Amino acid sequence: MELLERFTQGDLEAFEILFQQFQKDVYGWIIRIVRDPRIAEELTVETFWRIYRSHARFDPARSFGAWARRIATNLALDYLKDVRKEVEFPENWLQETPPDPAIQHDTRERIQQAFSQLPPKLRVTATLALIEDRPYEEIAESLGVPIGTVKSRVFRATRLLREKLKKLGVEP
Amino acid sequence: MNQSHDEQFSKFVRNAIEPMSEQELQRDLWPQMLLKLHNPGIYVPWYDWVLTALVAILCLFVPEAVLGLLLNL
Repeated sequence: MELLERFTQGDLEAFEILFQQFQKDVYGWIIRIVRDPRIAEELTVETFWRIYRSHARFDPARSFGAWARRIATNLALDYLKDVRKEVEFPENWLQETPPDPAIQHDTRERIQQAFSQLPPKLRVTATLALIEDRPYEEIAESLGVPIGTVKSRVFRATRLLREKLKKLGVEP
Repeated sequence: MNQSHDEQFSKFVRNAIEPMSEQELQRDLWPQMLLKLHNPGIYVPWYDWVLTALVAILCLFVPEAVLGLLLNL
């Protein structure tokens, strides 16, 4: 029997094979959104936990990777919504960002501050499009929205970021 | 490249915030997954929360309903 069909029937061994195949992809996608390795690991496990719980609803004719990415994106988005008021940015973001000699430390801090103040949906879309340079099709699929929505979110996020940066004294 | 956003602005942002594409998973998460599979905790579906909230609201506005609920337990 095919691996995906075995998975839909709740076969733990099939699930482990899929986990081993896709954990890096799922983690790699989540970390692009949450930008914190510890949180990304937790959300990767949570993503697969949800995948396992929903095994019966998965259609083996569809892409497992795309389904996993959709669940991962929703979880990462929920995480950003939850922590928005408590934590503006991961503490280690600055240390992990190699300094660009052309940009001063405080300017980078302001840009990151402006980013963290974006509404979560705009922040996720802008992070994936502007920073991670992911194709709009991929972002749309992972968010479960049309490409037009992605374009409009990127446009709105850019406009908001420009306004916020202007207020913070940064002119791109 | 299908992006139609402001590439100059994107470059400016990318210079300040490094992409995370190089960040790879450092360890196998399967042991944590197994732990979660064996100790899933209590999962309460969303509709149970909605039902609980409705019952609480009902009891708050119609205190007589508490008796009815107790009789049906």
